Amino acid sequence: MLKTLIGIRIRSMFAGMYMGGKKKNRGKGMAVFVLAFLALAFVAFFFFVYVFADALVVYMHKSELDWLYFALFMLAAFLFMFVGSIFMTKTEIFDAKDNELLLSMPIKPIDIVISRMSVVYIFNVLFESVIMIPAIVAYDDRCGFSVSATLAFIVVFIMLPLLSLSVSSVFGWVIAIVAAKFKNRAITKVMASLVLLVAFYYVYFQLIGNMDVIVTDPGSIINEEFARKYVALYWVGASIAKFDILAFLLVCGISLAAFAVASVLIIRSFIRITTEKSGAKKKEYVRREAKVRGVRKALIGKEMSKYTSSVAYMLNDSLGIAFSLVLAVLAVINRDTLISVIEVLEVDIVNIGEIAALGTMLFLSSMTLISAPSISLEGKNLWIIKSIPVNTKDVLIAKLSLHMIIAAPVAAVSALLFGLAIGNDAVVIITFIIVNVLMTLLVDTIGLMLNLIFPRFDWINENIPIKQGASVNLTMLASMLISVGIAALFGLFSAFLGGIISALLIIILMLALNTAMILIIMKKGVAIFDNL
Amino acid sequence: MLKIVGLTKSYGDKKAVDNLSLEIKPGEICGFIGHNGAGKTTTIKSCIGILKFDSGEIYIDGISVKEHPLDCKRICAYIPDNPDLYEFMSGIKYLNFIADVYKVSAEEREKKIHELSDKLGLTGDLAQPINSYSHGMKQKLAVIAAWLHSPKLIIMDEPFVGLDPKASHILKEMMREFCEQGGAIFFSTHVLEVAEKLCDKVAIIKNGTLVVSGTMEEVRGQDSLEEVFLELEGDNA
Repeated sequence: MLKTLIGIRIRSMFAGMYMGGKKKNRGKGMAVFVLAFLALAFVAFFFFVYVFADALVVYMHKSELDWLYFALFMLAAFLFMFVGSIFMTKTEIFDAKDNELLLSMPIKPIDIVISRMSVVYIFNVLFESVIMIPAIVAYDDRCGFSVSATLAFIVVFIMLPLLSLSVSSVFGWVIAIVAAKFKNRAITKVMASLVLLVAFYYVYFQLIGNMDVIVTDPGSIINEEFARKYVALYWVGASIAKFDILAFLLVCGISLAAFAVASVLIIRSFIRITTEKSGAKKKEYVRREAKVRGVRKALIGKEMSKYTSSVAYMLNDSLGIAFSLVLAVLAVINRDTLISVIEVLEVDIVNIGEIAALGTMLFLSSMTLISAPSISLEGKNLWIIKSIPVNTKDVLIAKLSLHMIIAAPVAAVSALLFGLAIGNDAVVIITFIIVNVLMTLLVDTIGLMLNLIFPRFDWINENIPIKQGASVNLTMLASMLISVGIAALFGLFSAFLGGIISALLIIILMLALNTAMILIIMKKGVAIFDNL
Repeated sequence: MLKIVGLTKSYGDKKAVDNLSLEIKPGEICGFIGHNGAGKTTTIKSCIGILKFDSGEIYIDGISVKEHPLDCKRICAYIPDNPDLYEFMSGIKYLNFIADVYKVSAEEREKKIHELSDKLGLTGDLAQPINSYSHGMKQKLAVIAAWLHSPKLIIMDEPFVGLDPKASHILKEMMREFCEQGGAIFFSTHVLEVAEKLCDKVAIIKNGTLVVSGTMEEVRGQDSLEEVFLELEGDNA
């Protein structure tokens, strides 16, 4: 039974990538296209990590700090896995719509929980791969790998996602317990999630507190002293680099033990949490005069209600907003350091600071994906919008508007802050604001159009459209590539044409891209929606 | 009020509805009967404009569903077989959303919402989120939403499923009252006793083809509707 359940979850997960609406299989062609695009993104990310790893491995190996090299990449992979799966765990395990159906069948709850955890595990392995595989390839290229180190790496590679899964499962479990008491208070759930995330980051950065010495003053590192100070990291690194049996057993033991504890916690409370009714008091209905709204406002209101009621939607698809603001504020706070770094990097013909700030800002905007699952999220409610007298254009505009209402003000503020952080040039600040708002609109329109092409209505778990849907992943990857491209073009233009003309050209380019996308949605998108 | 002419709809090679024609006049309640998978929901969804059909025409109050879907939707209301409503809204928020879309004035919606929710015993739960509603409560909310904008035609797919006996009785009364005021109702049901007692007209569909339609008297003659239905099912088995 466990095998069957895992099979169903995995099929559902991958079907979300290329299945169309009405369970219509788009065929191998579309699957190949999606997989090719994902592979392309993986390759791009692979090279990015590889270049960094290759630069680091030479120095680390020379200083006999191989263990630290592996430990650093494992640490980065752990962070990547955790951030990638934290908001998924609760929805995947506790909020699946088929929980009650499965519990009514002669299936052991442990099988249901393990099948759900398996999906999160697979995602963790994917996240881990994009960091660890290039790091291992770089190491092998420069230093070579012994058989024992290879075996140790494979085992640690399998074990580490268990640890990340355990931590994120416990987080999901805590959120689920809180949520069960405040079932209809999505904001409470979001706050609980953010508080836990901040707590995680606090502990994480406390642990690696002084490790910036690796970059700032590598010569000062004394191997033994460093290994003693960061003993947990040493175990992880040494288990591969030195094939230290004790460290290896400790890493495996801790990962397995953490997984066992997390599993027991979840299995014990699974039935209670999934079947518990809201602890909130019944809200008394009070008659009051209704506010009459126009059709467009009513549709935007409906989209807003959906957004603010779903913790998974808010946390997963709006993470870019939080990151944009936090990084922009940090950039302003550390303005002096930033400017001194930019001065070091300064090239005569281009302003590296402006290009880097623009790229970072646009990259962060690509992580806000509110419109990308909005068609799929209609789910079984699609009949409502199809049976009421509303224009399809208005429905799509409402979905685009929600994204802009939430993301555009943040994009403008973050652009202003980034502009201030790298200097006080009014032209740069205004350009940043306009380009970032236009980028937000572009991500918005790309997301909506891709979701029209790849809708998914038969989901049993909101995570499928919100996190695993082809439209969400493709939008993020496409937007990230565009953001890098825009920053590169800005650099290229400014090298030959000067600041103001380059800014104008970038704005014109963004306007043209947005106009094209809006026209495509209003023509092709409307036709697709009408046929859903 | 509803005129279906030669409606045909296929899913791939399978004809779900084949050349179906039917007419319902103002003041009539028409029951739509057929076995599972006969084509009832496909016909209903085509009428409300959710499904695009291959050929034929559907007119609501003389307006073509194909040519002017929005105009048709404005004078129609639809209740699906499974009331999947916006679970992220409260009952009152959902009703106000529907009222906004159909441009129901503040006074009118206030009056209607409370009149209908009092009648169906849902007033006390209107502030609750829909995800806390039982199936029957969702069905009641869907009924209120359908009646809210005073449509001319109400199309319902299995409307009595999930309703308690009292709510069922009230809904039947509402349906009769609605038609006495000049409206028309087209609904599918498997409960033949309900169709027999409530409907002025009945249409029986089998494998996508309308096998019989007419007034209740014409269709059943001296027999019960159940006997007629089972006989027709047997004939073509």
